[in-house]
Amino acid sequence: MLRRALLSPPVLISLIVVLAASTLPLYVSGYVLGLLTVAYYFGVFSMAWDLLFGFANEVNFGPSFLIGLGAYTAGILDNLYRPPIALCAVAGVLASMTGGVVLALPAPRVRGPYFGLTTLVAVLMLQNFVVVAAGLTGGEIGLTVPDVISIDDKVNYWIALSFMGVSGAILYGLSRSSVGLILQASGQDPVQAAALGFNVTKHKLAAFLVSALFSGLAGALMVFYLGAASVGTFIDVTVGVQVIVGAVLGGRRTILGGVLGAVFLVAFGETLRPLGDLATFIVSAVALAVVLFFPGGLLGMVKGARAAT
Amino acid sequence: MLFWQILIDGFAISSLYALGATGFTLIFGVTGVLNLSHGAIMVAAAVAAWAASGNLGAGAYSGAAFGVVVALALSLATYYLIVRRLQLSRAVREEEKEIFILTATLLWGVMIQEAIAYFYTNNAKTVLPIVEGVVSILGVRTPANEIFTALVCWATIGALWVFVNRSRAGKAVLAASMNPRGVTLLGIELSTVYVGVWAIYGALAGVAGVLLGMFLGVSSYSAGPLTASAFSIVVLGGLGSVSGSLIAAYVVGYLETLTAYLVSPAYRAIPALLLLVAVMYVRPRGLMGRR
Amino acid sequence: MSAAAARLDVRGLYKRFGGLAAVRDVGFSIKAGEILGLIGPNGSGKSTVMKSILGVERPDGGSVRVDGVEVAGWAPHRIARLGVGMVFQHSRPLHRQTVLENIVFGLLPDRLLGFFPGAAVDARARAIAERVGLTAVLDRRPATLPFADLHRIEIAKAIARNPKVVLIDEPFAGLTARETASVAMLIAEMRNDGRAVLIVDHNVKGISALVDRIYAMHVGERIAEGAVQEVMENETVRRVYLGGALETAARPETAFRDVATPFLDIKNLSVVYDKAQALENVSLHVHQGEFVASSD
Repeated sequence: MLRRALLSPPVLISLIVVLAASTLPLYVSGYVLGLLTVAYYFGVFSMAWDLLFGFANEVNFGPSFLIGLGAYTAGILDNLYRPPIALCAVAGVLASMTGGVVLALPAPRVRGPYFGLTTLVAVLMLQNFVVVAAGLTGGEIGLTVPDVISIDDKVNYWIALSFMGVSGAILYGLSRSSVGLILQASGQDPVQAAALGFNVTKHKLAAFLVSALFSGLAGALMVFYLGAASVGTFIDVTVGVQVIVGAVLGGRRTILGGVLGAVFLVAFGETLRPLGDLATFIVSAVALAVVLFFPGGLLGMVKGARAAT
Repeated sequence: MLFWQILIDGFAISSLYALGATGFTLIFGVTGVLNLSHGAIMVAAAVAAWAASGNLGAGAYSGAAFGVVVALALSLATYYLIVRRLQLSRAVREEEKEIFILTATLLWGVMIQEAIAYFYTNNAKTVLPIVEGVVSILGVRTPANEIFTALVCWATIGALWVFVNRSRAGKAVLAASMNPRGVTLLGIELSTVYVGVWAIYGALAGVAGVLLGMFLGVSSYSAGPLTASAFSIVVLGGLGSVSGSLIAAYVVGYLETLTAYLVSPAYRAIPALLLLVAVMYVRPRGLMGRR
Repeated sequence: MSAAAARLDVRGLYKRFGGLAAVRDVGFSIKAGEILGLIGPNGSGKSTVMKSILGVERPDGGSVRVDGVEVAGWAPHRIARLGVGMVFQHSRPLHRQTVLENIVFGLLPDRLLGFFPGAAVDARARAIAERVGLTAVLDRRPATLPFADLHRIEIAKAIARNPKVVLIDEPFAGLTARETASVAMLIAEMRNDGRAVLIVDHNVKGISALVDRIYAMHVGERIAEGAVQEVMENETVRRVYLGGALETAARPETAFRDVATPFLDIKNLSVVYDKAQALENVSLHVHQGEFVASSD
C-alpha cells in the first residue's frame, strides 16, 4: 500500500510540476516570481484548511485566525527582541497551535453552523485586538519587521516552493494514510467511528493542531518574505475567504487542489488588476460560479472527466 | 445628564441592531440558512437610497422606498440564484450543503460589496434623512432622526409580530420553522413559504439599511462588520429565536454605547465580542436558542 | 471463573431523557455462545439499552459489565476496544473507499502515528470479507453495491477485531427472504465462534428461530424473559403486541357508499429508500367513512 501511494498519478504529476516550477526563475521576471511566492504560501494555507474541512469535516471560517497568530507573533517578536528568524518562526507556530487548541475546544460540543461562527468570532477578536493594541502590533497601519529571509527574488521563490512542496507532501501523505482515513470517518460519522474504537476527539484535535502548525508556519515565513504584516494581508475575513475559495476551487478533499486553487486565484487576480476594484468582483463571481456549478473544483472536474472516459 | 444621553443613544442603536438581527434570525429559523451577505444587502439598500434621493434627486421618501425595493430584489436573488440552487443540487452531499451555502453567500456578499465600491467608491455616504432637526428629551439634545429611527424599527418589528402571530400566512411561516414536513401535510406549498420569508427578510434588511444610512451613514466597508454584528447578536440571543435576538440586540447595543462613552469609541466592539466568546463556551445555545 | 460466566452482564440499567425515563431497571446477562433477543414495540427503550451498553448514551444508573469489567460511563471507543462490536441498522460505509478499505478501517489501531496498514492487516481484512461473503466485491465502492452487501460490510466491520460481545440492531430490516436467511447464518456463526450476541428487533417472528432466549420490553421496562415459546405465551406480552382479546367491529364493504370506487385506492405500490425495499407491491383501499388500520 505504501508503494502504491507513493507512485500514484497525483504524486508523480505533482513531482513533475514542482520540478518544472523550480526552473522558472531562469526565464521569468522577478515580478512574476514575487506573485508566485505569495501564491505558494497561500497554497499551504489552503492545503492546511482542506485537511480540516475536507477530512475532519470541521468548517473553519477563520483560517486567518491561525495564520494571523503565526504571522503577528513572529513579527512582533522580531520587532521587540530581534532573535534569529528561525526562533521567531517557532514562536509563531507555537502561538498558532495554541490558537488551534482554542478553536478545537468547543468543537465536540458545538455543531455545524455554531462552530463556523465560533471560528469567525475568533478572527474578529484577533482583528480587534491588533487594532486596539496598536503600540505592539502597528494597528491598522501594520507592522514592519527589520529582518527578512532574503532580498533576492529567486531565493525567496525557491524557499517558498520547497516549503510548499514539503508541506504538501506531508499533508497529502497524512490524508492518504491510516490517520487520514480515521479523520475522514470521524468527520463523516463520529458515532460509527467511536463504535469502531476510535477516539474521535483526539483525532480531531490532532487535525486542528496540524492545520494550525502549517498555517502558522506559512504565515510566519510570509511575514519574513514581505517584511511587513497588516490586518489586510493576514487577518481580515477576506484573507480567510481567499484561502477557502482556493481550496474549494482546487477541489476539496484533494489537498493538492489547494495549491492549484491558490495559484489560479493569484494569477487570475493579477490579470484582472488593471480593472481595479472590479477585479475582486470578477474573482468572487468566478469563485461563486465554481461553488454553484462545479462544487468538485478544478481537480474534481479532472477526476470526473477521467471517470467518464 | 450623561446617563440620559447613553440611555437614548443606546436605545436608538439597539433598535437598529434589533431590526437587522430579526431579519437574520428569521431566515435562519425558517430556512436554516445563515446569510453571510446580510451586511452587503443592508449597505446596498442604503447606497441605493442615497443614490436615488441624492444623485437622482428623487426626494427622501422615494429614495428610502427605492432602497427597500433594492434590498428586496437582492434578497430574492440570493434565494433563487444561490440558496435554492444549492439546496436542490445533486452534486453536493447533504451534510456539506450548509457549508456550501455559507461560502456561497459570503462570496455573493463580497460581490455586492465590490460592485458598490466600483460604481460608487468606498467613501462613506449618508442617506438624505426623512426627518431633520433636533429635539430636546430630558435635557438631552437629540437629533429627531434618532427618535425616528427607533420608532420605525419598532413599528416594523411590531408589524412583523402581528403578521406572524395574527395572520394565516404568518402562522404558516412559524409552523414551517418548527416542522417543514408537517407544513406540507397541511397543504401549504413549502417553496411559497420560503419565497415569502426571503421577501420579508429583504424588506427588513432594506428598512434597517436605509435607516442606518440616514442615522450613521455607510460605506462599502461596512458590509462585513454589519454581518458580523448581526450574527453575534443572533448567536447571543439564540439562533432561531426572534425574542432572543431582540434582547441580545439591546444588550449589545448598550454595551457598545457604554463602552464608547465611558472608555473610548475605539474599543466599542470589544465587550460584546468577549460576551460572545463567553456564551460560545458556556452556553452555545445562546439565551433562548432552540436549535 | 466458570465457563458459564456471563460475557455481558447488565444490571439495573436506568436512562432518562429530560423528565422521561426511557429505560428503567433493565437487567440481563448473555453467556459466550448465546444469542439474546431484545424485543419490544417502537419506543420501548430497546435501542436506548443497546446504545447504553456501547456507551453512545451514558447510563444514568446501573451497571454494564463486559467479561467482568465495569464499563458503564466509559467513552464508546474504549468500550469498543474492550471487545464490544455493533452492527448498525443503517449502513454507514465510507463512500470514497472500496469495500476492502472499509474493512481495513475496522482493523486500524487508534493511533495518531499509524501511517500505512501493513500486509498482515490486508490479509486479515480479506479473510473477514471471505467469511461474510464479500470477496467478489472487494474493489468496488459502496455506492455501486446492493443493500444486502452494504449490510455485510457493517457485519464485517463489527466483527473485525474479534469482539466478545456483538450488538445487532434490527438485522433484517429491508432485506428480502433470501438475504435474511444468509444474514441469519452469519449471526449463527457469530454465536458458534463463542461470542455473546444481543439482537434488538421489534418483530419477534423474524428472530424467534435464531435466538436462545428473549427479553421483552415495554415502555422502558421488562415485561417477560425466557425461552421464545414461554415469552410468546405470556399474558402481558400478548396484550402489548396484540392488544388483548380480539373484538371485531368490522362492517362489510357493501355498507359504504363508494363501494365500486374507493376514496383512496392504492395498487401495487413499491417503495425503495436508497437501496432498501420498504414496500413491495402493496395494495390497499379505504372507503369514505371507513376505518382501516395497518399493523406489522
